[in-house]
Amino acid sequence: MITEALYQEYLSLLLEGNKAGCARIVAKLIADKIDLETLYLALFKRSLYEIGDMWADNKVSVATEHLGTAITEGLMTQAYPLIFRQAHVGKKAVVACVANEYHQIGGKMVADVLELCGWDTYFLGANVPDEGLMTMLQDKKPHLLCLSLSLSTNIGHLDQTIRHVRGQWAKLPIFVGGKAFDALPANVLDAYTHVKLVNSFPDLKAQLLHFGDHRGQ
Amino acid sequence: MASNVDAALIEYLRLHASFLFFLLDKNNNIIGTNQFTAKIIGKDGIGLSFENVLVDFCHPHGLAGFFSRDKDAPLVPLSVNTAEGLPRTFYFMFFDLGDVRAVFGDMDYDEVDKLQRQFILLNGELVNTTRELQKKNVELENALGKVRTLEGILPICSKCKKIRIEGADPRRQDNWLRMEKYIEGKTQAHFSHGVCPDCMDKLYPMMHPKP
Repeated sequence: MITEALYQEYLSLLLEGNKAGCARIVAKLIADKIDLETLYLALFKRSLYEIGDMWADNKVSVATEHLGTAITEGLMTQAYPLIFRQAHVGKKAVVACVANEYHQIGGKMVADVLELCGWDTYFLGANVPDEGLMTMLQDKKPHLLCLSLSLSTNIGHLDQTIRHVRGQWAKLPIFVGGKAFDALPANVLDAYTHVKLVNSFPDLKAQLLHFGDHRGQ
Repeated sequence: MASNVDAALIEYLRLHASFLFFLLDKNNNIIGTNQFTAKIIGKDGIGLSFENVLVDFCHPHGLAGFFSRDKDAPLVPLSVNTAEGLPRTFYFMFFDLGDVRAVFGDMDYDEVDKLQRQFILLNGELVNTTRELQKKNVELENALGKVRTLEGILPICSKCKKIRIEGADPRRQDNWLRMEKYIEGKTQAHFSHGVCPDCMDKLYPMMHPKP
């Protein structure tokens, strides 16, 4: 459904900051019944990663990267009427980025896929201080906590957050994921209990089976 | 050597540097600009009064006071009419060079950086709020779908109080429903049966004799 030509057209529009042009493409894909994961991965994630690489290669400015992110977040709202109409399975998840982590799109995509699987999600956004997260966990009593980490330099904040959570909830399952784990050693999470690295949508859906949710498969 | 460096510097500043430069005559009319200025104001501005480039400039002493300022004084924030239509603020320094006057305007890059960071945070909050609103909207729509209401004019039998099914043939008896059944079918309400005092008197006069 997303041909290479269409992807390149979308990427060009995104780099130009042409939100209306990008929105037209997304609206057409949704009207053509594209599935959410393809839209998120093959269009949104791919283009943002490519712009991130262009920034790393000094081909675009950080402002262009931020604009691309802001536009993409706006475009994600076009899919919400589809996401939130799923029947609920009676499971709750809190999704957040740890303190100092300002890249929230990945976490939001995870929250949306959980919604698509019928979970009730509470997405707390970027840079969530531990106190705020603990209050939310106390209030919502979720079955699952998902923590997003985009920059490997924020691993210390992730460690601190997990230790805080474990201080009160020894067995609450925690899924962590994000681009940071491409650069971190494979055993970085070995020190924690009930903490899993979940770095793809199929992996996320497979893990949900352990909660008695078979709808994702 | 030095003159070559000066020439290169002037060439760079004239063509590529991102600051405003206006060369004015004694009457503050523009007689020269750099490339960045032309891009911002949408024209080279030659012949225009410098005041006309500014947005709503109204200083009691006009521009004169700016040229006599101490060079260590803080830069003067003034807004410029841009080709894009949105005014932009630059921080200006004024030089009186005798026959001509030079005006330089620069952006506050710390301010731009701060605004960019704030913009990212605010946008994040906005899209997160939109997500929550969409979610609540669907929940409300679902709840609304469960709320059934009764409205309009109901055709009712004057004698037995049965209600006719909307649009159905009134001559057929099975198109008339007992009121309880009709209302339970149209709303979330249910009926619990009892007997009112008047009916109790009629039905069981011996149990409740009138005084």
